[in-house]
Amino acid sequence: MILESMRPTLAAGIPLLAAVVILFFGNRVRPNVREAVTILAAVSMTCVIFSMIPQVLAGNQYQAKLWQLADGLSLSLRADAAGMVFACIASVLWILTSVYSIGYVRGHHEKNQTGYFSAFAVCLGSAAGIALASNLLTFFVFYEMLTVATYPLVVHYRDEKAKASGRKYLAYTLISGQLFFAGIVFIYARYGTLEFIPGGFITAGSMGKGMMALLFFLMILAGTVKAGVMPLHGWLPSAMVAPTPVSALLHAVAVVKAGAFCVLRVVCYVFGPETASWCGGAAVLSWFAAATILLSSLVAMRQDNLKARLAFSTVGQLSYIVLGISVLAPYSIAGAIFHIVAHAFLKITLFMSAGAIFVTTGLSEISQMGGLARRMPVTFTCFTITSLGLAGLPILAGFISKLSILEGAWTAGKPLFLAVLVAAALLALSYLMPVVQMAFGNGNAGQNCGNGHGDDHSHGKPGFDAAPAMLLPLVITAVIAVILGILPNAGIHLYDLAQMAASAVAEGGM
Amino acid sequence: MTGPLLCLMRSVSEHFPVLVILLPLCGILLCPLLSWIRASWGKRAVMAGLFLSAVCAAMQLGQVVKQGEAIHYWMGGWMPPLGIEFVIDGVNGIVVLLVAVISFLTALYSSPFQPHNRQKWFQTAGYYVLIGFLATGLLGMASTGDAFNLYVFMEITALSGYGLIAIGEEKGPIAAFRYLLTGTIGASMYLLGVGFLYAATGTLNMADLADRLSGLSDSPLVILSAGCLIVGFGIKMALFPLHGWQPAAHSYAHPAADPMIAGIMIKVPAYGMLRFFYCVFRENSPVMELFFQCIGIMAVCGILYGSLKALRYDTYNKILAYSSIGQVGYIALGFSIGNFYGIVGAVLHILSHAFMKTGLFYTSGALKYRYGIHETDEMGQIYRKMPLTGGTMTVCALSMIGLPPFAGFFSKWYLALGAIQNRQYFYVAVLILSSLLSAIYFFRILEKLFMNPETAHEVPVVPTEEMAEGTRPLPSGKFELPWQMMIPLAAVVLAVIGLGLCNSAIVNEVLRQTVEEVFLQ
Amino acid sequence: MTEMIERVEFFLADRGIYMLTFVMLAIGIYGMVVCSSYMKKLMCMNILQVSIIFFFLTFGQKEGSTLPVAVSQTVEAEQYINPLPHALMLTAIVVSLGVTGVGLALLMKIRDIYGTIEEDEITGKGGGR
Repeated sequence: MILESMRPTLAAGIPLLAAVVILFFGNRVRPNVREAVTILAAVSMTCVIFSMIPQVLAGNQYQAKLWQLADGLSLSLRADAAGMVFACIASVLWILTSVYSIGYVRGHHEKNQTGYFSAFAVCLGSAAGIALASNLLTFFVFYEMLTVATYPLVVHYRDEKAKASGRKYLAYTLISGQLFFAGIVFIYARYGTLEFIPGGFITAGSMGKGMMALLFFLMILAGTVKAGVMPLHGWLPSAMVAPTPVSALLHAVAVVKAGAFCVLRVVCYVFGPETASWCGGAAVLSWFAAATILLSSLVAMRQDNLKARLAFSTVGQLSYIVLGISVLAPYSIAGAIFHIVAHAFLKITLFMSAGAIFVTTGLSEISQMGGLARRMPVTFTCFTITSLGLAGLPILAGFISKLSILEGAWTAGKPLFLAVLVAAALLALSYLMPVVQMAFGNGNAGQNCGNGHGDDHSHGKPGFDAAPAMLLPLVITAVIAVILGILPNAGIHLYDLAQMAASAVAEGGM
Repeated sequence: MTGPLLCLMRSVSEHFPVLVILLPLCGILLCPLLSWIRASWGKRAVMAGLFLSAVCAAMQLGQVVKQGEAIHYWMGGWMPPLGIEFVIDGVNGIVVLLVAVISFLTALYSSPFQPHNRQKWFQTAGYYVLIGFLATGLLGMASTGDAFNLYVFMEITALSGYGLIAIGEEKGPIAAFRYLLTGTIGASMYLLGVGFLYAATGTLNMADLADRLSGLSDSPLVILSAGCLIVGFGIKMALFPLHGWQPAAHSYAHPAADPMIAGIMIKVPAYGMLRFFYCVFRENSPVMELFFQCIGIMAVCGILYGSLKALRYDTYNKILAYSSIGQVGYIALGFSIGNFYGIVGAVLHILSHAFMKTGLFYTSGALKYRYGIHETDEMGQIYRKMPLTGGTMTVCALSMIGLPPFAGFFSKWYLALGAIQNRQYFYVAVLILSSLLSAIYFFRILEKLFMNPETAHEVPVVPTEEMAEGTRPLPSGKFELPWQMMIPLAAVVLAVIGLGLCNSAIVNEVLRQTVEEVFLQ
Repeated sequence: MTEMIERVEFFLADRGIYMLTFVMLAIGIYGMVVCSSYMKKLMCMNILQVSIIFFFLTFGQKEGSTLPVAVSQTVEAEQYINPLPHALMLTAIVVSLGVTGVGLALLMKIRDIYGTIEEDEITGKGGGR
């Protein structure tokens, strides 16, 4: 059943409105007021999104048709199961990253904070729009908004390095976005609709195989670029020049997940499993994803910069999602959707820890962190837990999603991917555990590094761990990661939603 | 009491097409006299004329949409084909409205550029007379249904345009003179083309021409005339390879008039081309074949040439000027696609590009006015001092690249849709390539705007002798610019966003009927 | 041979005037492209405009008819040539006069700024920004 409602509009509209408010009044009011607006927007957006869960779980969908966006196509939003999963994590993590951002940018005395918070809000609004878009044109509008809004965050420091990575980011995303645009126009001219339908609306055999494969890659490119599937990942590590909360947003919440979500929508809701496997696109995509998982882990091992290591880890983990989708089995799709959730909480904890370490001690290289755990015990405890979760240890969030993907790969008769996934889990351990080992091991990094950026101005002697505004969010995300590992349906039934979406796709594809 | 008023209203509403042109003309005629009496009255007369003209244009468009068919207005009651006829349908109704609105905004915008000196009243009056004539000519060109009348309005436009370019920067006179030579060739070619048609049919009324041409499908005279018309309109709309005059003219024109020159002076001839080919030659398949091929090649070359050339410059106006060559190519591409979405895309692009380019030239003028900035390298951090200017630049630039949800995206959407429906995939590739190229040069500007270190701008305290181009201190220090300049900037931003969000209303309510029934019968 | 001369004569009598008009048009455009003096360019522009005026006037003619002026002896419309091209060209002449005037004014200003109206010298001096 489809319920007409304003709620999807509100979910996407609140952050955009907040962005406008912050942009216009941010410099006139005190920072506290400005950040209160951010938090208020984040909380109200979360409430709106959570309020839709019961009906969506019951199999209904909220829909908001706003107005005609282009001739014959409306700007319409619809909250279906898959979209809800993405919208939920985006909104929840926005609250946490906002709190964290406030601690970070103040501790670090960032400039241009108004623009920063405003762009942040636009990113989240677009992410909600992407999650809830019910047709490809609406999706594309929000997708490009996200691209543009992320740019000021990437180039936040406005130096040469930031400029270079900003250009790189734009080059990757705009080119793929324009090709996506061509694909959309082609589909609309050819099929007369752009509405997302579980199981896809492009029927196999409606075009030549080669043409269909070409169209598939045109459409998939935008998603894989943002999701950082090799060889299109180049922008992601270089976007590390941005402030850490931005990296957290980029890597855990909005941008890369939007890419993964784009792959999901295109493969499962536009082409559908049948067509995707018929034209051979899904198989090629899955091989690229598998290669990325292995290669990125190997590259990650060689990075000494903590954020860079985490960035390559993101490249790998996102490919799990892409692999799960492109295997095309119902289990693996559910696993992939749930991995969006699991990876979001795990990776954001890791990034927040990296940021907390940087602000508190000024350290960014892993080799300097010997013994740092004594100085920041809570941070490193969270870091350790989530590292294990990322490797896929049981009772942690990453386990269930990976298990589902494995099951899917098994049922789809692709045992080779099983080996890849298992190997990747071991590799993940091998690049994250050294950090933990270093921090808990011998060394005196914790003692003589009290003169980091944060401590210069706040207080003379090194305090206990990081500032509360940074520590609290990362503890919360770590706890959630554990809870989701034990009870994947705790609270808002995210795993059920993922399974619902996957089974809808599978049924629609029949 | 209400009786006579109602009667007056009714009789006024019957005369909108001519009022749209007469009101600015009255303003112009009064302008020198009033300026002589009091310096500021003259410009107010022109502004009032343009404002009323915009109101009439809006009401006239409302009438067209409401009654669902074109308004035919016969000058002096003389029936066509003998008399001169004004035809207002959905498409040119909206073009007329666009021209009137942008002219009014530009007249408002120009006011701070004019000398405040009482002795220089003639300079102010002259400037406003030129602006008014430019607007009158463009409005006439868009409204008229008579081929020769179009020539006259074209020359009125061109003559005032030459003047406005010549009073610009130092190189203005040279640019104006070159434009004068090229523009005259263009106008002469147009006249020659009309001459051929007249020789073949014996009429000058466009509707009548269309009827009489239907029997002459492969007469060499008609094909020759089509060639002349392509050259004539091509020169006027700066379509590659006939764009030679355009970069200098758009770069060196008077900074206050530049938005109008760059924004609408090349769009109305584009509309003229659309009308001439789709309304007059429509049933003439050999001519249309020729037209599609010629215009398609010219458009593709122009799009690529303009974008590539814009990459090579650092002067803000030059970048904008070359980008216009590419954008006019988009419009021509829509003509050559020639199905419903192609034409709709072209018309929407006429509208959206007019606002975007006008907006960008407003920002260029504002930078010159306030800090004397010509080069993009000098723009570092200027958005902090001039947030509205910076914001307008950002919105217009993103729209020029064609990013949603701004106006530029949707015209590109329709163009691409039309091209794919015709299976002209190559055109889609060109559109995409051009968006990416324009992304390079526009993001380069934005990067400089937001990320370059601040450059020192000395603001001359003593007004320079050439008031028009010099940079002067702010009259009142409260805002970044005088309010007369802030209103147009804000209006353009709203228009770019509004056109983007409401495009389907425009397509369905205003354009659809005309395009389907008149252009594509 | 005589037949051919006759044909040429016939062609010239019939279409020759158009040919001359187009030669004039070509001279105008050629001159505008080739001449380096702006003054000469302006003159060539006038030649171009005059050629188009000629063209219009020419096709308004017909054999055995008179000027479109109301004379008491002739009353039939057939006896007059088509007056419309003449009327149009009156406008065109006015326009061309206006354009020439603006052109001359511009030349004066160019001369004030650069001290010359030769294209080579101006582009040499002004540099090509």
